[in-house]
Amino acid sequence: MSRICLVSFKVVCYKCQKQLTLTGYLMLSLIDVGLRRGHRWLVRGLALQVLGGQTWQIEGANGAGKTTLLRALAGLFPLGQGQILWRGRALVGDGWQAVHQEMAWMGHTPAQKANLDAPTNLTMACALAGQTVATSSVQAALEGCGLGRLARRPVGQLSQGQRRLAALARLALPGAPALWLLDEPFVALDEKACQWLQQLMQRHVQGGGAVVFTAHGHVGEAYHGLRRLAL
Amino acid sequence: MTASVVWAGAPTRGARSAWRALAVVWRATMLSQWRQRADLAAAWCFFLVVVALFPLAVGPEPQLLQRMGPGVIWVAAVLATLGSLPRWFQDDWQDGTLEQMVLSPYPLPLLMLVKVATHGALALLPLVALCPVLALPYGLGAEALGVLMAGLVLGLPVLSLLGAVAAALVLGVRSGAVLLALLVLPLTVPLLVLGAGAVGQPAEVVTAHLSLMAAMALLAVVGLPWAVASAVRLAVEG
Amino acid sequence: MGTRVNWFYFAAPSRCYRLAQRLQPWLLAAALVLAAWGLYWGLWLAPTDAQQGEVYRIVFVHVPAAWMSMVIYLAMAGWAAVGLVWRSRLSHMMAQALAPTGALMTFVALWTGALWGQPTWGTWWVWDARLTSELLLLFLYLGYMALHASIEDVDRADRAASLLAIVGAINVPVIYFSVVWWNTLHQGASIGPSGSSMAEPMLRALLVMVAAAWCYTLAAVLARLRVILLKRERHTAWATRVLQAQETNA
Repeated sequence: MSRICLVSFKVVCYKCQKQLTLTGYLMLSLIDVGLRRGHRWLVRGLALQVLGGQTWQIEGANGAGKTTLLRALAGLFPLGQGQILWRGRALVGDGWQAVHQEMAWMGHTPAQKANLDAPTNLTMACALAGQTVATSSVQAALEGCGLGRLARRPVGQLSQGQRRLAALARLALPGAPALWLLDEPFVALDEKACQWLQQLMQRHVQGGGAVVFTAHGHVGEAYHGLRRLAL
Repeated sequence: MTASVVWAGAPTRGARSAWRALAVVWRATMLSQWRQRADLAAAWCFFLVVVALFPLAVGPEPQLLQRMGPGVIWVAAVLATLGSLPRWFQDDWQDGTLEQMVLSPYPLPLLMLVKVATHGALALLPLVALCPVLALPYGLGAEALGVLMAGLVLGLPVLSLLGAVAAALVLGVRSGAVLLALLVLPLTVPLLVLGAGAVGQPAEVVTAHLSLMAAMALLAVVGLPWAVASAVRLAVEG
Repeated sequence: MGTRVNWFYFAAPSRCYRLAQRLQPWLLAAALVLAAWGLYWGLWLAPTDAQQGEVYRIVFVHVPAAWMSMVIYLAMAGWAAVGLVWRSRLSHMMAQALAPTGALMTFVALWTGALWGQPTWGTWWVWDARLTSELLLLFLYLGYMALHASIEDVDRADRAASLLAIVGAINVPVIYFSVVWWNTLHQGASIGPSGSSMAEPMLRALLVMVAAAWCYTLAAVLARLRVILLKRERHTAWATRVLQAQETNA
């Protein structure tokens, strides 16, 4: 499990100029964030704090802007207005590089090379993200999500759900980053895989990490401490 | 705004892990090129066919061919690279690897430099290797051939980087491949002038041309990866 | 202490629109007056050239167009850079407004260059350094406009085209000098349109024509900018007011 920073700081709200004291494992702070595509505002005036130990679900209808908001949190989509702070610091210039060190992003397409098998893909993804992993832990992670016997097959031969599982297995590796941004992670996963992912998320959050994911409906009614953001 | 931060542990990042990330980029690129090896071979054959067609169009007069040879070979090399450009970023963009490269904690210009260098080397170095074969129909002597090949090798970084900027800008655009030609070709004029113009000139002029091309190559390697990274970030926005 | 200058005062689309609306008629009038004066001076009053006869008079259109084409490209790249650094949509819109006028100036320069070449050297096209680099500049303009037009998302189109403009701008000196080099390498000592030196009265007429070209450029660009503003901001309150006012007037 990753260990994250303990931060206590004072912040001056950029809009109302008042001083706020925030404690806890603060990660993302969104201040008056707005997202636009062309002339259409998808989200406007959003304020959000993501602290360590929290799980956030962004829900909404199709086209409401869930994926766009998640991409904005990851730094892929530019903000139309407002600011995102990471651990209380404004993200200017190279700021995003520090964020990317501690963030794992899983988009719609699992970033995998179809010719390579799952362990090689995992090792490559970790190397690109700056994570050092041992072969044994890669194997253990794949066993944990039920892909152990399929580890030798090229990923292109697996079903879509299995490919997503193989990509998500990166989160089960030791040294996983503190903040997880998952775009529709439960799509194409069967019952067992969904449970595995939920357990993984719960363990991560109990260890002090944070998870923000998008999903259509209500996921895991028995999920304690799940916070919802409806768009 | 003050912050007191106690680092309880963060992912380690040293020089070794940076090399591993670059190795990943290189490997992903080689893989996507291997999958499209038929297209790559087609680009090389295109080069050969174009070079073979010119004498048929202008006549077999040896002096004319000797004057035209370097120019024709250079233009054919540029066109062959242009043909392979659309696929440089396509594969990685579609399966999400490009997104992960953008989100990597390592500087994106550096990752893109490795990617472009791999693509450029695969597309252009075989063409340079084919030059001795092409010297025969155009009657180029050994010295002229040497100057031509040196020019091609020095022009490789500039050509690949300019092409990569254009290829990243037209990712996902409707008529991307057609637009590429309009974007890239005017920018390759200095290379054509210096590279093809060096052949057949006295030694001092050749040194001048090649030095200028080397200078352009250095400037391109230092400055253009930033432009490639910006263009890739634009394409990945979604 | 004087008042602080707010450099971003006209960065609001509605204020910029009003400013453009007010300036445009004056600039157009100035362009017409200066062009009439310059052409009268150049075509009627200026003496005949010793070497080239009456044909040289085309320089009064060719040179201002060529200069403007290069200046407009630099301005376009400048606004593109401002737009990328300060993230202002209006700067990108200004660059977009500059491009077609720049392409037009380049085309006029090429066409008048060809017209000059025909009686003087007997060919419609001369591979002279300046004409060749004008041709390449035309391709750069067309590439910018084509890239902007083919990306559907307007914000991404803005930023992509601006990046292209900056990369192109850095390349323009390299391209120009390489073409000059190419010219000296292959054509030797031929006298081109860029080779002649001008006598005093011709120079004055030329400067008047250059001023006319500047005014025309600004007028045309501001007119185009207004159209772009209305088109892109048509969902905002000020734009709907302007469009309604235009409708009631029409």
